[in-house]
Amino acid sequence: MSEKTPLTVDVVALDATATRVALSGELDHDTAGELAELPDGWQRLDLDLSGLTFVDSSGLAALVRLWQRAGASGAELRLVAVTPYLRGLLKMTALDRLFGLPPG
Amino acid sequence: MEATIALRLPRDAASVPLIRRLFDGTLRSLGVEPQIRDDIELMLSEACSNVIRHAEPSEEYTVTAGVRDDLCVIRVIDTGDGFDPEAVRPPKPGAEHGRGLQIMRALADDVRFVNKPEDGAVVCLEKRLRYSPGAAGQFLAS
Repeated sequence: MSEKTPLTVDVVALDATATRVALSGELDHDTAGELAELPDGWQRLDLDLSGLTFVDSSGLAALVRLWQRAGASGAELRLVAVTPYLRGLLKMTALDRLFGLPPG
Repeated sequence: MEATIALRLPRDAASVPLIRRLFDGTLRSLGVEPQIRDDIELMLSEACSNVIRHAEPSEEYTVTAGVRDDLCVIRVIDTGDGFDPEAVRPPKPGAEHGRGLQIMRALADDVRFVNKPEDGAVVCLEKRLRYSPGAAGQFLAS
């Protein structure tokens, strides 16, 4: 039972200061630690969440950690391609406001 | 109809996706609507993750999940020291942790926490099921 649940992290440098990271699979207790391994050096990080099929409170905690990391270095973290499923979860936990998602 | 699955699992993070997939597969076979299945998957995961994180000194925990007509009842039972859900404050906006309980309360139709004075805690989660048209579970419901 040591097999990790699948999470795929695709990192694409958009330009010298902006990075786009696409997450797909399951972001949970088992996989959330992988977000801590993202490289530094970006001024703006676009986090594409459209491929996530499952996110739990540990996954949300990892997103908050990333947001804190961005804030600490004066960088910007943006959630893009948020699915209705995920929007519901972010709203339920009041994180939609933290991440500045447009209402609706 | 009444169907119950009971599993005794090691208190290990890898057990959570296992039980989640197993139970989601069962509900899918019964023809439970996808949105209800998503909700159950998440609230079940939160209850189990809670045990993994906090239920010292249990080495194992038990999950029972039962479907009776249109009601799904999940019990997550550990042998840890128990905990007081009232003592858990809602998380501050930028806080990292503390959203598991919030999610369980939002998704379940009923959540109960029972501390057994001698041996551990039980989280009981209930959810009303909705079946897709023509689903197997619909015909089994009395």
